[in-house]
Parts: sequence; structure tokens; C-alpha cells
Amino acid sequence: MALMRFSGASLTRRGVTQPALSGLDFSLAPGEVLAVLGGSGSGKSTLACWMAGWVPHALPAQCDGTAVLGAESLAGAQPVAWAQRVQLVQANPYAALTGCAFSVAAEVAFGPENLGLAEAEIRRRVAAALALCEADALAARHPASLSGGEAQRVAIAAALAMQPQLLLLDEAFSRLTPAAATSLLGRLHDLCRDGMALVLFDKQFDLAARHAGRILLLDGGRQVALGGAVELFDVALTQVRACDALRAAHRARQAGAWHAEVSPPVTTATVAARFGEVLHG
Amino acid sequence: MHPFTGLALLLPLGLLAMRIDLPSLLAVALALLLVALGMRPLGGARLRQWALVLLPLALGLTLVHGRYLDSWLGQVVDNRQAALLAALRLWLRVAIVLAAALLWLSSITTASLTRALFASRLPPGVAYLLASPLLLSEQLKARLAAVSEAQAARGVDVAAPFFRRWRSLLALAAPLVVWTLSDVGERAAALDARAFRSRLRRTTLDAPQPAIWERWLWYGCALLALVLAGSLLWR
Repeated sequence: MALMRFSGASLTRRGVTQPALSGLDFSLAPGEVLAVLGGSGSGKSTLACWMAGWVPHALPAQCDGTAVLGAESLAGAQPVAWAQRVQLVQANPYAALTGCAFSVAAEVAFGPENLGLAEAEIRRRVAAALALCEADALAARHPASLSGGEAQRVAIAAALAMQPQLLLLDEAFSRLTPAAATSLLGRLHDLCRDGMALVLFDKQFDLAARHAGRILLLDGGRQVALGGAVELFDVALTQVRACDALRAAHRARQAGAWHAEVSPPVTTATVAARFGEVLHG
Repeated sequence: MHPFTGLALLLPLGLLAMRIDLPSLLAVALALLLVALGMRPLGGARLRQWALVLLPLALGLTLVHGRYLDSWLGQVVDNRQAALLAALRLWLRVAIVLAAALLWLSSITTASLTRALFASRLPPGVAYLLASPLLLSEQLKARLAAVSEAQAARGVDVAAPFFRRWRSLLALAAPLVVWTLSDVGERAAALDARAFRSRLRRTTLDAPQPAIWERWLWYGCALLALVLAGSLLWR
């Protein structure tokens, strides 16, 4: 059974008539990694807030069609009701800090404390989340003293400590180095093997192709395509960012210089091999 | 010591200061509190804070309650000594309460008081409301530093002497207030995302635990405060 399902779903912000999101038709299985790609203003963050259960209390809007988490409709319940099941980490990590803690460890523990868990379980979750995000060294620091990248690690650790079924990362690696983001995503993949679903909202094609099983492409609030990275390569690269090597391959395909039987390179690791295949027939 | 123990002592102490009329007795109590405050870590700084509030207050009370202001405005003052004594009594009472509060604050940390509030029997929302001024202080300090840096880059001399600096007060205060207010929605969303108030009882790690004698002291203080409040009303 799908963890989350959107079917003919659209969302219209209060006070306007034009829908911010429309034509959404996809489902998400437990343990799956889905990437939502789109340029600025494509509706990624709005979709992230919707999936986090922020509609209509934190995001006043009208929803149509089907949007469910398990068997429950995503719209209507207070955001706090979803906190144990869905966690959203946004691009601004400081927005995730509650301001109720005097140390990073206390900040990460704040969510599990609110769930009324046993002290030993809270300490275990905090230690595991900080270790996974390589933020153990920050445990005693005051949250207000963190740099952007450090705060981003702490925000992800705080979300993980809630042990959600679904983790939504809305450009949550924007302040980390590419190497740190790749390393962190690799460790998050291990959690997905245990059943946690992960949705990456991003503008970067390479990142999505490397880590997600499927890609959902948004443009102007509409779902343009849904599929694998190879399948969406040509359409996605007209709208989102990619490294120069992938862009060169895209240009070659657009210009008809690409060999029809060679699949496009979707990560930097496969670029050299694909270009080699094209050059040597 | 549990953070609430000092707080429990404050209420009957304040009521007792209201109940005592003898200025000499009030002065002795104040002297003892000031000595105790001076012996605490950072005692000198706290004594300066105390003096910064109480000395201007002494001047104001002398002028108004000592009725010097009345006589300057042409009124006849019959019994100046009684008026001055009343002003002194009032000043001593305020001074005692403030010195006791500073002494209590010097014995706790903001973090331990916040944790004690969250671990108390108060509903989490009420505990947050009470703790929020304490929680905000660190964030406001960090924000003020950021605003000061930004204004300094735009030519505001934030390191100037006080009388020159007050002109740039608006340039510093306005962004701080607007920034803090605009954060309210964000903060509410962050609290919701961490399931705050989703349950009636929450766990608090490293919560300060009161000793048995402290619990008895709290009840004793509550009873004493009740008796003192009753005696004040009866009088």
C-alpha cells in the first residue's frame, strides 16, 4: 500500500483563483526515494508544505482531488498531528530551530520529549540522529551560534529524531558542500532501507538522478513528467540545473549529435563512458 | 538547589517586607541581602544593576513622597519627617524585593529554570509562555549583534558614546522588533513540527529534581505567604 498518494490533486491558495499546483498524480511507497525537480516558482516548496500537512492551518489554501497519507486526507488536520509521521526540512535551517533549547542536543531532543518518550529512548534517538548528520561535535553549542551549514545538519538531525515515516528535504542541502550533501544522502539511504520514504525537492538534476529512484518534474505548478532519470533527461535539463558535463550531453542530443542507441548520462560517474560510446560508435 | 526553591522564598519575603514597618529592621534585612549578593559570582555586576535601579528610585521617592516637589510648587508641607519616613520605608521594601530577586537569579541558570518550568506540572503551552522571555534573550542578543553589524556597514556608529548613540536607537530597534515579530509564524511552525503540545505530558531530559526538604519548604512558603497576605489584608 502506498504511503502517500496524490490523484488529480490541485491546490489553490486562498484569495486567488489560479491554482498554485495542479495535475498532481503520483504515489510514494514506504522506503522509496523520490525527487521533485523544478525551477524557481515551479511549486516545489508549496508541494512540500502540502505533503507536510500544513494545509490549511499554516498554508491557507483550497485542495481538490485526492491527497492522502495512508488512509487519511492530508488537508484538515492540525500540522502538529502529522509531526510524528512526516518531517519537513526547509532551505532556511534557522526556521526549524524551536528556540526552546540552550544546546544543540536539547534542540534535537525537543521533539522526542514532546512525544513523552522514555529518557533512555530520547537519548538514543538524539545520539543516533547527531551521529548520522555528523553533528556530534556540535552537541554542546548554542543553536543561535551555528553557521548555516551546521544549522542545516542540526535541522535534519532534529527531524530524524522524530523517526518519521516520510522525510521531506526542501533544498535542505543548500548550505552544505556537495561532498557533505552526498555523504549525508548516502546515510539517509540506509534509513530508507528500514522503511522511511524520502522526498528530495531540488533544482539540481545530478543530485536527484544519483539518489532518487524516480523523478517528478514540476513546471509552473503543473506535474510535467514522472519517471526515471534516463527517461526524463531530455525534458528535465531544459528546466533545471545540471553540471556542465550533463549539459554538454544534453546539447549534443538536442543537436542530433548523440547516438540513438546510447542512453544519456545522468550522473557525472557515467559521463565519460557515455561520451566514449557515442564517439566510438 | 531547585530553581523554584529560591522563587518560593521570594513571595513570603516580599510580603514580610510589606508587613514590617520598622525602617531599621528593613535596613538590616537589606544589608544582609546585599552582602549575600556581593559574595555570589559576578556579585559586583549584580550590585551595580541593583544600584542603577534603586538610586534613581530613591531620588524620585524623596522628591515625590518626601513632598519636596509639593513645597517647590508652593504647597505647605506640615510634617516632612513623616513623609520622608514613608518614602524611606517604601524604598527599603522595593530594594529588599529587588535584592532578593537578584540573589535568586544569581543562584540559577536560565537553562535550568527553563527546564524546571517544562518539567513542572504546568501544561506545556503555559510553561512555554512563562519561559519565552528567558528563551528570547539569547536569540535577541544574537539578532542585535547581526543588526548592529548590518547598521555599522551602512554608516551607523554603534560604538559611539551613549549620548551620540541614542540617535541611532531607532535604526537598531526597528529592524530588531520587525524581525522578531515576523518570526512568530516561523517559530509556531517549528513548534508544531516537533509535536509541541501534542500530548498533555512531555518528558524533560535533565530536569532539576527537588529534594524532599525543598518540597516541604515550598509548601511552608506557600502557607507562610497565605498567612502574611491574610495579616496584611486584616490590618
